[in-house]
Parts: sequence; C-alpha cells; structure tokens
Amino acid sequence: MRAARWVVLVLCAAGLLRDISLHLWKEHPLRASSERVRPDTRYRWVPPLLPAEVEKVSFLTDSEPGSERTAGRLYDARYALCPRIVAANDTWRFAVAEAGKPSALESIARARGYSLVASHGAVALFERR
Amino acid sequence: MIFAIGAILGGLALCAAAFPRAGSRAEQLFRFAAGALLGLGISGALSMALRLAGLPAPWKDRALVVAGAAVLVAVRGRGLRLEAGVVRACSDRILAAAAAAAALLVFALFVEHTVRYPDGGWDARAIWNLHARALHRAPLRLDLAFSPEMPEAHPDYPLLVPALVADAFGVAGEDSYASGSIALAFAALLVAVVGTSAAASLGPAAGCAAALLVLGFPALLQLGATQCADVPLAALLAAACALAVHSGGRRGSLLLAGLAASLCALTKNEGLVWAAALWIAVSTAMRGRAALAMLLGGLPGFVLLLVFKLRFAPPNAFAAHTTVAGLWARVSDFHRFAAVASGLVAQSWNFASWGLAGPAVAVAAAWPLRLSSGRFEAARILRRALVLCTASLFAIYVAAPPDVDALLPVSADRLLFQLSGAAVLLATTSCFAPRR
Repeated sequence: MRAARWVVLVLCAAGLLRDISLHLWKEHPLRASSERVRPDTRYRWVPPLLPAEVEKVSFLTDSEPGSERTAGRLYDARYALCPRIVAANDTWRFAVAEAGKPSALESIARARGYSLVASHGAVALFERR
Repeated sequence: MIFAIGAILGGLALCAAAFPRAGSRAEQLFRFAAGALLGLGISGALSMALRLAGLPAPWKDRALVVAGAAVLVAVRGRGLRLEAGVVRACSDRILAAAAAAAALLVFALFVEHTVRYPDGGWDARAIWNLHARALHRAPLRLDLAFSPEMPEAHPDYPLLVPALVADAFGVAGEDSYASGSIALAFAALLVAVVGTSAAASLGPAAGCAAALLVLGFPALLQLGATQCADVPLAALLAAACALAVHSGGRRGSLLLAGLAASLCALTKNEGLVWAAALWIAVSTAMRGRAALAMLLGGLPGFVLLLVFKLRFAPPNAFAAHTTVAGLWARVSDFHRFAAVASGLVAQSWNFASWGLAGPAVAVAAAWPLRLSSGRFEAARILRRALVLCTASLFAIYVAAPPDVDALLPVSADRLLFQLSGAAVLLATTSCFAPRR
C-alpha cells in the first residue's frame, strides 16, 4: 500500500508539473493578461450598422485559405455576429472582412465586388456594389 | 443563484429517492457528487427540450427547485443520509493532503486561465459557446443556430452544454464568466465522482488515489479551461459507470445510470456510442432486468435526442460525406488500420495530454483481473464497457472520411479523455480491490 501511495503521488506530480510549466512559462499568462482582448471585441461595432433583416453575412480575409489564422478570424467573426450566419464566401449582400493590415481592406473589397461601408482597425464591413 | 440551486436540488432529490441510506461516508459523498452532476445534466437537458419546443426556459429553474425540495422532503433525504452507527473510516493522510493540494493547484490554474480567456478556446467559440449565444440571443430562431452553412460549428451536435450555458448567460450576462463557471463545475464534479466512487467501493485511500490520477492528467486542465464539452461528457460517463457498478442490481441506481448514459448522448454525438457500450456491458454482466432498468432511466433523454436529430439537426458531416464505395475502400485498407492503431497508441502515451498518469492508468486498466468475487462484477462491467468504447473509437477512425493522419492528432486526445474517468475507476479497482 505504501508503495502504491508513492507511485500515485509521482504519477500525479508529473502531470501537475506539466500544467504549471505550460501555464506559467509557455503561455506567459501575466504578460498576456494586459494584451488580451475578448474575441468579439474587434466586431462589436458591426451589428448596429447591419439592417435588422440581414441574417446572412459573407466573411472575407487575406490570410491563406485553410490556414489556422483564417479559421480563427472566421470563428471570431461568427462568435461576435451570432446569431447571424457568417459564411466563408462572397455570396451575400453584406460582408465582414479582417485583414493583416488595415491598408489591405480596400483591395479585398474591390477584388470581390464590394464597397467599404466602415472599418475599425483591420476589420471592415462591406456592401455589394 | 436559483439556476444553480435548481440544478443541484433536482439531482440530489433523484439520488435521495433512488438509494437507501448510505452505509459509509464515502458512499454518501458519492451520492452528493453524482447528484450534483446529474442535476446539472438534467437542467441542461430540460433547457434543451424547452428551447426546442419554443417555450421559455427561465421557469425551469423554479420548477426544479420546487420539485427537488418536494421530493427531498417526501423521502426525508433518505439516500443522502448515513445509516445509524456508521464509524468514520481511516484515511491515508498523505494521499488526502496531496489530493487536496493538487485540486487547489488545478483550481487556481483553471480560474486564472478562465479570467484570461473567458470565452474558452477555439472549440468553445466555434461550437459550444457559439450555440449558447445563438440560443440566448435568438431563442426562437433555431434555424440560424443549426444552419448547415456553418459546418465547422457542427450544427448536428446535441445541445445539453450550450443550453446550460445559454441559461447561465440569461442569469449572469454574456460578458460574465458563466461558461467558464459551468466548465469548472463539470471538471470539479468529474474529479469528485471518480474519487468518491472509488472511495465508496475500495476505501478512502483508493478514492484519494483515483482523484489524484484524474488531477494528474494535463488534459483535464487543457480541455476543461478551454470549455470543451469533452469534460462534461467524461464526468457523465464516469457517473453512469459508477452508478451501474454501485447498483448491486438495485433498480433505482440502474435507472440513474441509464439517465446519466442518456445525458452523455445529449452532450456529444459520441456520447451515444459510449452509452450503448455501457448498456451492452451491463446487459451481459448482470441480468436482463438490470439492462431494462437502465434503458428505462435513459428513455426520456434518448427520446429527446431522437426528436433533435430527426426534427432539428442537419445530417452529420461525416455521414453526409460517406458513400458505400468510400466506406468499403477505407475499411479494406490495411494501412489505414495500422495508421489508426499506431496513432491511438501514440496519442494515449502523449505526455502533453496525459503526463505519466495516463499510461499508468491504461496499463492498470488492461492488467488481468484476479479480484475477489465481490469486486469482480464491477470490474467486469467497467472493462467490457471500455473495451467496447475503444473498439468503437477504432472503428470510427477507420470509417471516418478525412485523412486519418490529420484527424487523429487533433481529436484523439478528446475522445480518449471522455473515457478517462471510467478508465481510472477500472484502474483503481484493479490495483486496490482485494485479490482472489
């Protein structure tokens, strides 16, 4: 029984040390706490500009299709604009876009046949021309 | 507040009514832990049912408080009380202190992570909390929440967790730590159910060891703090297994085991597979009446799931992309079998998810059983259920359409974690139960 006790303690300690190393060193929580914003903050200004009857919005970005960054931006847009459907296409009258740099927003709009309605930082709302 | 009281009272009332008085303090604690967990699950399932029916959910909490209190009074809290003359069992103080310290540490890291990321990780924002927001913001527009135009949001997933979070949003607001608090409650109840269940059947030292093993899985903090539904599913499956093995053939306990299994199916799609595996294990290890009681306990949940799947949910993405020819090509591909087998073994020995506790639990759970007859049946149910679950897991990966080398590394740890509570119960039985 005594041996089993020490084995269990070692097994648990290994996992807890992994938790601590990940949390306190690899994630840098204290540094990140001042930089962190909620994922929907970038989009909070968008819903008041959308007509109430608009239920579907397109999502455009300049990051590589299929990349983690593209997926992350799309999920954040959906989370913010919920319950509206945000689809990764250029089918709908209105579109939201997130670019790496604010200067890229105009060219994204032009390339997909949209015009810029408003933008805040690297996030923009477009409307079909 | 009434939301939490309603959820907990409802579950405790069920445990009080289903059991006779507890024969030990550990058994009593197990019933409190299982009751609180079942209560959370029932609250989520009721909310899901009301939302699917287009009815307002807030009165559900008051109804749960009133019904729970009435049942508790009617049965005089029977199953939650101790038999007269129960003496306090001796505990291993070092293990007990270590379990308390480990729980405190994981709790602190969990809270700190939740304060930094109140919306959870990618999965939570893309699926669970997204659905919760949709249910909260537009409760009558379920067509938007289940739109097939957002396949990455898995609109076919059942709604127990999102409905529970949507209820909490209704009480505390979306900018609160509501979703994180529910994730924390499920993680804490997973540890509590596994620990108290092991303590009830094997003694306090085994209970502390079981709790330490669960706390020693780094995946608990990773999946818990990122608000994945895998932790609630792991807790409900562990509770279903524990209620089945503690039943001793008692109808009340088996009804609750069936209820917990149906709540698994209402949490995630794979929960239905785990529920079926446990039901088959109980059916083969105990007599037919036990299987029937379990099925009866799960009936309301399974009917709710059926209504959701037939009436509201779009087809599952895997099923929709599966053709007979494609399925045959995959299941007849030997290299795919080898890739799935090696991938699952590699994932179950991944230190980042499991530390050292995971491999040790896997070895102990697979070790040949030489137990006394009293514990053998419990171990046999757990082992059969886990063997069936593992075989199903293997079959799912072999049959699933996407590239298995890409799919396994991003999903296997979650599926394995769902089985981890039940695996710890079997491992502690294998190590701590009296030998033949």
